[in-house]
Amino acid sequence: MKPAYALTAQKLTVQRGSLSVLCEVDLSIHATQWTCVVGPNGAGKTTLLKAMAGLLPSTGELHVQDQDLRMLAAKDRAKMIAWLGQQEQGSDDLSVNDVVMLGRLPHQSSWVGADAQDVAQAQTWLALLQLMPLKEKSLAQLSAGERQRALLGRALAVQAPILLMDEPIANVDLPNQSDWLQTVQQLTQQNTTVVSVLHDLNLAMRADHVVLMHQGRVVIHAKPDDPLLHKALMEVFAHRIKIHRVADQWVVLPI
Amino acid sequence: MKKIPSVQFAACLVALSLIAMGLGLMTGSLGWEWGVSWSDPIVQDIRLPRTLGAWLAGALLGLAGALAQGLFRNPLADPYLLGSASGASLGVAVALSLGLWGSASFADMSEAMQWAMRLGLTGMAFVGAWAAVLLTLLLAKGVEHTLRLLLAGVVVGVVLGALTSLLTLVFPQTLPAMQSFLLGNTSMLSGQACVLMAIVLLSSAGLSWIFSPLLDGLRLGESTAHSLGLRVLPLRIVLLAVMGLATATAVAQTGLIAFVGLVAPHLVRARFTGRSASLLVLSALMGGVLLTTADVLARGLWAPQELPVGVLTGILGGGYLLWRIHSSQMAGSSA
Repeated sequence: MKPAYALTAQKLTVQRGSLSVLCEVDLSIHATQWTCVVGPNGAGKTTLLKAMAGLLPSTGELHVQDQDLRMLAAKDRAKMIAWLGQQEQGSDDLSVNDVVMLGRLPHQSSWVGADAQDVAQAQTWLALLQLMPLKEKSLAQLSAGERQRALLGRALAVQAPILLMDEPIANVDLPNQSDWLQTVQQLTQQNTTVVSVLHDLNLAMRADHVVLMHQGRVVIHAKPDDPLLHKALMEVFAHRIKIHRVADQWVVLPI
Repeated sequence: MKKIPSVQFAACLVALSLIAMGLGLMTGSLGWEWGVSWSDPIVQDIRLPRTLGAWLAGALLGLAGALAQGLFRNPLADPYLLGSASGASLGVAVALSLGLWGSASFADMSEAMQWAMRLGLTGMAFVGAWAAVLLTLLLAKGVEHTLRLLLAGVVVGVVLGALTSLLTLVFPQTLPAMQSFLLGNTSMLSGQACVLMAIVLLSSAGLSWIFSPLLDGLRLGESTAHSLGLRVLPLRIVLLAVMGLATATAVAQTGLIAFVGLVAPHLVRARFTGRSASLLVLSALMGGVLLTTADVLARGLWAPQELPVGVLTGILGGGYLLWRIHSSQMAGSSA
């Protein structure tokens, strides 16, 4: 039987100098569901995501599918957790095909390089993300939305059961946001666990679970319908927002 | 600009290398000579090692330049970034100032003295280059922080440069030999030097090829490289060591050749997109073509007067970069 939680953290702490940017966080991420991490600037969202991906030195316990994350070899960890970073820009001279192929690195040895299976996997993701017509173009020639899709293709080509994304749709227009949302929903249906940091609270309220962070701590971890989440959101955002139910969706508006 | 697949590009650069080397064998102290004899001792003993050596030194600098630009994610990075150039200069200045060879100008020395000096200067340049790289790493407290590493390289470059200037001020008789080193010089390359550079080039290119996935990962940022299972710190140390070895070997044999390491990867990227492994090999080939061509021009343009090859690479390389800046500005303004 598969574990109910894909990622679990206990007393997860990240220190930056004498400052604790993440303070004893206890969090369990539901397997095969979409969890969204929200909070004001400086709340520790990116730090939490990076620590859970094993990209930052941290203390406390961290398990991925019941295995100690820190005991995993770098390549094994990479095959289990795919990462799409906020600052991931990519060199302008890389083609879309090259970028997506980079996602296959955890599956390759230094001596052999890419094999036919890697190429086939990359082609699959290029097709699914409608990147085929762009595959020979360099990143410099793409729009922000196309570029983001190419970078998402890179993360998906890892074929990891867990996908962590930090601000994946910053600077992306609404049609591309809609495509991204659809991709995330398809991924969870195909048993991928998705965790994303989002600034857009309206999109975040479409997730299966919302984790609200403030000052390096988790304030609440709940489903979007939970009134306690709404109350906590308004408190953390200093009562500068209102949450309404419109056409079966939660809409967060500034006041 | 249309991109060229890596195999065709490499074949093209190999062909250009052979043409440039052929011209190198035909270029003597009196300019270009058509119909030289292979059995001519001048061709075998002087022109061949010089031409081959220029290609190998250029290839080492091209490879080191591509490594520097990939490791620092900066298109303006060059092989001398970690202070190796100033370290090598100081090494040579120290050797000259020790008084063993500093009292006579290079041209006045006996052949044995010239050989002894060459060996000593080469060794000192190599040691100086490596010492400077290690000092940079020490000041930067490792290789983890790119910006700290770059700043430490600048500081080491400035300080060692000042010490070199001080030495040449105190021992002005070292100036002609120092000048020859600082302007780059391929005239003293021997068969032995070629063998050494070939071994270093093959091992550096091999190691760079094997560990090039790090450069690919770094093109998407350090966190992404980590997330792809690449062990960034040890791989970066290996590639920095390869870069230091390639640069120090080239500098020790030919002096400071400007711009080849900076321009060669740019020229490749203008016509190629793709994985770093191919970029590294193509940059090495391009570096070889550039320095061999510059050497031929340096010998032939104003024969029998020979231009310092570093001056020529500086003018041509600087001119190319200016043209690139201008053309990208034009493209930007017309877009």
